[in-house]
Amino acid sequence: MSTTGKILTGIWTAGAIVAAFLWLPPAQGFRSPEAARIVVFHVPCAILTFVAFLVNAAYSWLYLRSRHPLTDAKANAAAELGMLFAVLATVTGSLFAMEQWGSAWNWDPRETSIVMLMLVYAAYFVLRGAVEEKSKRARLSAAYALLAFPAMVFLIWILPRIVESLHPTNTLFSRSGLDASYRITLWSFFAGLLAVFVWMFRLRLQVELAEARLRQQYHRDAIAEATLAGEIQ
Amino acid sequence: MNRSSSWVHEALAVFAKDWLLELRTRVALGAVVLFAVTSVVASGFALAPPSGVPAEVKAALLWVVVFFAAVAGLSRVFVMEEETRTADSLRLAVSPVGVFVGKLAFNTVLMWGLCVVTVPLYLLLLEVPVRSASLFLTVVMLGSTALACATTAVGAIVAKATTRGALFGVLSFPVALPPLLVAIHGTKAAWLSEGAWRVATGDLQVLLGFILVIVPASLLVFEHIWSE
Amino acid sequence: MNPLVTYMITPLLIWAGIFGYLFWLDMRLRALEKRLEEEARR
Repeated sequence: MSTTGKILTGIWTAGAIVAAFLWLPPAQGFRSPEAARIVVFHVPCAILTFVAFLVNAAYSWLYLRSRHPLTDAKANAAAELGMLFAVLATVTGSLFAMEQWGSAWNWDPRETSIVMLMLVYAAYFVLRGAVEEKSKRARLSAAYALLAFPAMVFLIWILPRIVESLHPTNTLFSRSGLDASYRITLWSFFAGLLAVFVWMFRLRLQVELAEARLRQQYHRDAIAEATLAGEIQ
Repeated sequence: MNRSSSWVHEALAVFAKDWLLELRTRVALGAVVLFAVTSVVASGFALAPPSGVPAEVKAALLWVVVFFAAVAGLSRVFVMEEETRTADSLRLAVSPVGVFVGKLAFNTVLMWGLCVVTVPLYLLLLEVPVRSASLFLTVVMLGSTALACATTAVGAIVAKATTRGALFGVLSFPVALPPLLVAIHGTKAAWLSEGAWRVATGDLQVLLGFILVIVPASLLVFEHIWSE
Repeated sequence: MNPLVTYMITPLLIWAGIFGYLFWLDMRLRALEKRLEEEARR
């Protein structure tokens, strides 16, 4: 991403925020029409959580095939971002649930599935913390991510059959749902957030690479010092 | 001997070897059954009839007990190989598929054993009215099998970790949750509903589907967990 | 003044904070990479 791209992302996202407050009409049909604007921020976070989960599974799969350390770093970065956006989606969702349904937590299928996703991420990080050797850690965490993936797909698929959902199912994609301006703003914000996601993802990888380089240099210095000490003796 | 039958033989050999060892030491069996019996007795004390706890709660509690008892023992088959340093020789002698299927069969039988002890005791102590015994039996069978299928590969991961501690429980909960929820749902139906089989057909299908998805997925990643 | 404008300021400020932080991280990292490269060449 170039610097211009980053600045454009900043302006674009700020624009979406302004539009959400000034351009959007109050959403009729909600208990508090003005508060419904939060949907524009909430839904993109939720979608990005699932995107991150997919990216994590994809890189885990690729890691098992290629065994390239950078691929493992990518899987890990995706999981970290997934956790971040899961928290954001939960916080914005709870705020709105308080307004709309009167309580911050209702064990709605989507609420449950996002908590389960967070649990998977948490378990993933715990596992990474429990293995010291790098290649082993990468292997085991990739395997775990690929085991958790079908389980999560199952969970998201079966939950609505077991519990009633409070969430609307097709307001985003059908014409009968919210006002078109909502859809436009929502997806614009999503685009901006996606760009931020990519940016953070790359930053995370750069940190990883810089750390590896520092370690390498440290090693080299240590060896050089040791040989120097040997020569003096 | 052709290739397809060789892994079956290997799996059978692993299964037989593990049970022989288990019956000699009874570590996994002891841990699982004792844990289950203790928690059933504890819940019996707390929730016996005059307490008026609804059967829905009891159905959920039964599966919570079964799950945590499973967590106490199902990682044993792999941890044992690492602790006694027999994993390497097993790796040389048997293909990964053979190892996984053998261990999965061991865990499944262990789960069945656990249910044979726990479930009747639970029904007895908590006085649950079972409407459809045949359905309940099917749900318990399928549910315990699904739990074994969900957690066996996780057990292999945990055995390889440096610090094991409570890792197995933390890691298996998200993977085991779908069958757990569905089994609770099916159990409620078997205990309470009229025409229980009709109500629970979907649950049984989901349990079966879960087994059919998670076993191939586990097989796919197991090779990478198992081989050094 | 429209009360929505007042409400809007909070998310905008949060966003400005996040954006600024990311930019700052970006610059720090680039500086670090440059220094590492220079040291590696020596």
